[in-house]
Amino acid sequence: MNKELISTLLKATGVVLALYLFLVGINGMSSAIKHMGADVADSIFTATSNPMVALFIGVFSTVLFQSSSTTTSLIVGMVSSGALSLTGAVPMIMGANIGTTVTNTIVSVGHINRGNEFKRAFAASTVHDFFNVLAVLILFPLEMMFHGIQNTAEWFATFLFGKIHNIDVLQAKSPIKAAVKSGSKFVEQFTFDNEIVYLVISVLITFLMLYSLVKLLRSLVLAKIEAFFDQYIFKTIYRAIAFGVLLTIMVQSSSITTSLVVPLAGAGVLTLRQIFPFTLGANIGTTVTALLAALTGTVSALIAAFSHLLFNIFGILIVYGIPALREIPLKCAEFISDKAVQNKFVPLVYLLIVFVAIPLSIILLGS
Amino acid sequence: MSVFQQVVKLWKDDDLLAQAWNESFDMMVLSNTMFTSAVKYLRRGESLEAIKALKKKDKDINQYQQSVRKKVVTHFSVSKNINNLPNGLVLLSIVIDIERLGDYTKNILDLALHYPDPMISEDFLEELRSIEKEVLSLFSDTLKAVENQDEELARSLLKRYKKSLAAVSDKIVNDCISGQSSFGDEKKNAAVTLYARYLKRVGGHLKNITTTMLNPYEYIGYNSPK
Repeated sequence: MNKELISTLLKATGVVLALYLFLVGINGMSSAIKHMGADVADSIFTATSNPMVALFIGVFSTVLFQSSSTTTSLIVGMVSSGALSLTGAVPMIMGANIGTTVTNTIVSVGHINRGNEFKRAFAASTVHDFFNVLAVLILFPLEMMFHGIQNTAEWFATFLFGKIHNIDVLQAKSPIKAAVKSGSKFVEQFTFDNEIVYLVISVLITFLMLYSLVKLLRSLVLAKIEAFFDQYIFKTIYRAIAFGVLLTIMVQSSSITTSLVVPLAGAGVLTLRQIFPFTLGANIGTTVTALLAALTGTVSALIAAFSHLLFNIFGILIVYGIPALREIPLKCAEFISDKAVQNKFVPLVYLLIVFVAIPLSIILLGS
Repeated sequence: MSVFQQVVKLWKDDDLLAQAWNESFDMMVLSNTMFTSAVKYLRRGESLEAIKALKKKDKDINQYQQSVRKKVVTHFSVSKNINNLPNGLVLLSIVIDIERLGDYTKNILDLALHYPDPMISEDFLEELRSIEKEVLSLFSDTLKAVENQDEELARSLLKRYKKSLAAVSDKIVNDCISGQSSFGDEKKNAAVTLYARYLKRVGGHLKNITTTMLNPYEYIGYNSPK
């Protein structure tokens, strides 16, 4: 066997192991919260009872983790434990979608000393921000009034499982479920019967394993997909969306896929309009992580994960499907990149206001 | 080809940097073909249409350069692997030289277009013919050296460039300017001067390409320190 094949096999084994431990972490977190009792659940319920606060908790926690997959997986774990209601989870998931765009915006700031290059790169990254903000501006009030996303997700879960309360996605006899449970039990042995230690270790495992999973998948996939970037992906809108979805599923991180195209936009290889549908595909692809996380949880957790997918699909159908709305993120991105080139403090102020000051103020005022 | 077949083909393809290297070699082969034809056209005289058709091929050279640049920037943006960064930088340097070879070939074609008669170098000066032959030979040998990554051949090419081309071309140009050589009228003098300089520049860019096989990155196009 040659070196490359051995390396690929080792990485593939690493992916399976990291995925398993990721599920162990989610399951452990859910168990730890359950063991903590009603007080903890009540405090999480209270903190997220205000949808606006829940929305910005989603934004801010994703900015801190630099990964919407981590936030949504933790949300799924909390829903599975019963500590977080679906009504609180859906706004948090919407917020995670906004928070995740901070990474590629930071990447674009790396081009700040080269005028036009920075303008193109900054526009390419902020178009994702503006799309997600616009989608939330439209869908958040509608969801608060009609719960359309939650109801659709619940309808789908009822269709699949017959009922949605107090049942698990996988049956107890399922080998995956059994393996994940025994993994969580094994981890619990090292927690000195302390639920807080169990929770911290489980969250750490979840975070580290998702990080490792993304790293391994990235090294497995990226070398192979270069040629797609050169010839294939950006020829039509549908291909761009489809490859945005597929690539994000393959690397389990929308931050990576959207950050990849920022330097290409900066170099002028890709245009803003070519990148836009690709980032929308990334929005859909990133929802797979939470769906995976929900596998070993309850049907309610699956509904939360499914709400993330539905939110992104509805967002694309409404914002990208209506030509007048489709232009808004593009125009906003072009406008702010013009301003950012004129004044180099604009990107910094923009990042601080949108991703730190507004979320923190609303969280603090709301609580 | 179906979408699925296209996707499978792309998945199996070499990485973009390897593809770009292959394209740069194709670009150099095309450049050699153009140069060899341009010299023939100049020597025997050629129709306006044939000269214009050959000049248009320079667009293909430019497209190769654009494609190589795009592949290199995409490779580094997507793979984030900077271990082979010098490899990419060298390649970008090479395609700039090949593009210049195309430009000087176009200049030679302009000479063929505007000089009223066939321009047979040995009718003017034996040295002009000798550098013409040397550049034709250097071009094909540089291709061989690049294709086989033959460092021995590359070293001999650098010596030949300095001894048999640069010095001789400079002498022809200087003699024309100072009046030591004169061919009867201004257009002949101008044609000989320009042709000798174009041949030297073609040789110079071939030398730059050759140094990429031997020198550290910062010494591409220069003499490497002993």
